[in-house]
Amino acid sequence: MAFLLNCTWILPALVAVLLMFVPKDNKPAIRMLSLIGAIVNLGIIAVLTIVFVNDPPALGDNPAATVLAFETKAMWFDKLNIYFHTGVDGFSLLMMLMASIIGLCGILVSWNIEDRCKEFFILLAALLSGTFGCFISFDLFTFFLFNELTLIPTYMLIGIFGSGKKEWAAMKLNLMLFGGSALIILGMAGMYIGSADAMKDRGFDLIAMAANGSIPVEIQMWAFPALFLGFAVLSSVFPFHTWSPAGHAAAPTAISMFLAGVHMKLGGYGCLRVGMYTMPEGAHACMDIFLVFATISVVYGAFIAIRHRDLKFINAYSSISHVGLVVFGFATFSALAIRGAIMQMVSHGFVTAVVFALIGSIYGRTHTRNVDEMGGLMKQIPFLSVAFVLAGFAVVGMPGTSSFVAELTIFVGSFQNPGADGGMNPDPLVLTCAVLCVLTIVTTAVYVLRTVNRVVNGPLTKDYDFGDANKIEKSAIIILLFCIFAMGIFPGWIANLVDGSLGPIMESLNRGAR
Amino acid sequence: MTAAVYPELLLFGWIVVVLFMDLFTAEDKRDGLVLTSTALFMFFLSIFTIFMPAGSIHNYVVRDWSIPLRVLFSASAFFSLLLARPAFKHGAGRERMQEGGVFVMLLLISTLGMFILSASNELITFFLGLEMATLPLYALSTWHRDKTGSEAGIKYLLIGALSTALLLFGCSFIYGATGSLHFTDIGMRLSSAMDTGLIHLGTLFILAALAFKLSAAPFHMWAPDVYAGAPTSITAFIASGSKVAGVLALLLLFYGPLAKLEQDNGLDQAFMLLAAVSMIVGNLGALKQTHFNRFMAYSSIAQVGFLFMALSGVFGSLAVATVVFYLVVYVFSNYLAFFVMHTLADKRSETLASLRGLSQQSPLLALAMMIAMFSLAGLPPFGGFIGKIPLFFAAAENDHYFLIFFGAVNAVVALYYYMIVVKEAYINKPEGELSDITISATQRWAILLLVILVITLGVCSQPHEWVFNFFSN
Repeated sequence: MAFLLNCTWILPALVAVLLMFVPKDNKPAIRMLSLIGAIVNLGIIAVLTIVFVNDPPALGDNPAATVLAFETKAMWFDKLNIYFHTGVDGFSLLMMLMASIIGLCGILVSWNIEDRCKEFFILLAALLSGTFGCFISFDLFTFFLFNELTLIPTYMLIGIFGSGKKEWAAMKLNLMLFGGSALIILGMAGMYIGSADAMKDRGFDLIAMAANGSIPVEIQMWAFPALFLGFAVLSSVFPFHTWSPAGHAAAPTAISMFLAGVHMKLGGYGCLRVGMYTMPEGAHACMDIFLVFATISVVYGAFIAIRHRDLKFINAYSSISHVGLVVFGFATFSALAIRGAIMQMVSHGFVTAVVFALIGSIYGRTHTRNVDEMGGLMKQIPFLSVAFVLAGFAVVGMPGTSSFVAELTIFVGSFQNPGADGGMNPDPLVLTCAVLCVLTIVTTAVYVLRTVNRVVNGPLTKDYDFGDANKIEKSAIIILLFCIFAMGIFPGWIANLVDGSLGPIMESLNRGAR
Repeated sequence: MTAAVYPELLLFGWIVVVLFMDLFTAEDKRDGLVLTSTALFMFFLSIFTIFMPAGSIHNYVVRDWSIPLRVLFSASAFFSLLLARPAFKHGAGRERMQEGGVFVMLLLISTLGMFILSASNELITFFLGLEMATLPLYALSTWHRDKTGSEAGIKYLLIGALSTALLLFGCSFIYGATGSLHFTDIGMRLSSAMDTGLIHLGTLFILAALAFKLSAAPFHMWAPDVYAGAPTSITAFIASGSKVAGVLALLLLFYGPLAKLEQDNGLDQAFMLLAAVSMIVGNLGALKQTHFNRFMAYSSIAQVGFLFMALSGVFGSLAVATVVFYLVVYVFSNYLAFFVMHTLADKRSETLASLRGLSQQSPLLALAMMIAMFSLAGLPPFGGFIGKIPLFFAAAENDHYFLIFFGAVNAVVALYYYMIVVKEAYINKPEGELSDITISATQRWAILLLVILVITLGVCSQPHEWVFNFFSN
């Protein structure tokens, strides 16, 4: 089983290598090979999830130590104590499941790419490989390695296959993300030096650092903000969000889906798993500033989205707003809100992916993304329009969709935050921010309903001559919509998955509060 | 006699062989024969050096930790000879080079000088080895007998002479303060020496001299012109072999007899200054370059900054080991980049613009260039990642967190210009008709070998372990 888990990143890498040997004119073979790779990968993760749900690993002696399922631990660079340490808990398994579904749909919506098709699918496979590797790594160095591994394909995919100011956007995105990495390097250096006094004992084991609380508080005080900020750049928290609208707008559809759906979640994952879990004292000391930044992202993203007329920009700012909610959930330190934030990561992954997929499909027909130039699409492309309306509901957070469950959990949790005295009185700053975030639901409704109404209803602006979604597009959209509604209607098992893995994280955080 | 000195003896023997080969072979076959046979010899010498033990004869001490660096010297010479072959055959874009025999001999003498430097245990041998390693390079950099070549040679010579003077001056101060030229004696008497001011002054002079050799800013002015004017094979050798020799000289003194000085505050600030200035000058200089060799010159200035960052402070075993391992990665990544450019330069100019359309025309070359650039930038899964990131940890051991942050920000700037190169190869559209690319079998195999080396260094732990084992005690 442990090998099967590692297959999730080996398999896409293998697909990338195999694709290099397929002649570049044989496009059907290239597409089929990538699709089969993605389906097998999804299958593997589904099997692992089923095994995990039926037989979750028992808690160990140390309540703050995450117990991993399907664990592999092998020495890699032994002089620096770098291990190849992979495994999953419920949290990472959930992220893997989401990433593999979005990856599969990304391949489906890219079916029509003709120009340099081979390079596209090679790079996409490499991107998937890096992402999966990241979610299963429990050694900070390998985590960082896989995280960096996603940068190269992202740059090339946007730079080669994007549209508009693609080179500028790709460069901006990559430099900002690498700037985040620079902060992560700084935090990592502190953690490595802080993890032990003697060089031979130092290491990057996340679980050991958290379980033993081995990083001295004075190092945490600056290493935590550096690390958290680094990951916050990745999840495009204000004021480091500017890469994301530029990147999403320029990227090809599949990459917009993957960037907003999975890549930004990688940042949130890192914030919680690497930042808060291993350095709880630092987290408690420095979190106020991040709480404020997250709230600004939530509010600011929604307001900017009202103003934009380009569908991709609207969804990019909407993503900033919704991912800001994830970081907001973390920053409240309330177990319920953190659970909600994790669910929001999964939910928003699906929602934003389906919106970007729909924007891609609509753009393929109207050749414009400007809301003002569209109208009455319901008459021409009913399937896409209905899906667009449903996706709009999901963005707003209507009951029955996954975002409702996630956002409600975050909001309820944030009002129950433990506060400075450990539970009696909630922190007033958190409460203020929570109120602002709740009010943003209205702003969200404004931009979503206006946009959906303008695009779908009203008179036809032009007499287009195009057909509705083809089978491949339909299948991608249906898969994603299904996930959104399934999660909205049956959130229980996901909550269970999250709760199991949240125990050790909360234990570590509560220890930091004392 | 200990087996440790066999590489030097073999190299010396081969220099004599080259001398005779040059005399007694027909003129039309001479260059090809000398270059090919010497390249083969250097290949086997590199492998041979790996398995040689440490040992000493009197004052000639082959330290065990210098072995990876000695391997790098012979490997650099090997790759430079391969790079030089097309230039002697048909010129590779510039005027055809002449006098292959002398060229090879000078290159080998320079390599021999590096070997001697690595085994020096007193200041005279140290000086001799360092000069023997650099002097031939002055002549070699003028091998293209044109204006840029002469400019490169004269600039290199003048600045080199200045740095030699500084080195001697510094050595005389050390001798004056401790009364010995011997490394062990210097180390012992350093703590009891009365005149610490003299020692500090001498050390600073030596540091400045070595900074010249390493082209660390603010002693870097010669590098861009020399890199652009010298033949590409020699440029690569100056950027790799000669740079490794400079770091080796630094380690010999500061990881050896002068190690105690490092505890003093003054010296680590000098290192930090060199690190910060080199990084910023190299990175800002590289941003706007269009000529590939000048670009590589600024890139190498920045890379030296990262090395100084790791070395600022106490030379702990982590710092020295990571620096040596990074040099291994750096040398191979550098050669990979030069090989790709030199292959292209056959029919085009050595500018970044000639990379345009490469990914469609020759995927192998484009991929190789991408790997070289990302390895130099420090991205996984290439050697540069596992090489560069621990440099930051080494600096963290000395609590130089501000320098780490500065370095990490500089790494972002560096990524920008390395990506510009990748962008030229993969994204930018070519203008007009592209000249076709011919890749000779030698170039193809050399590029493949380097690609495999760069990836292996990043993925397999054995080379990493091999280097670190020399520093584990």
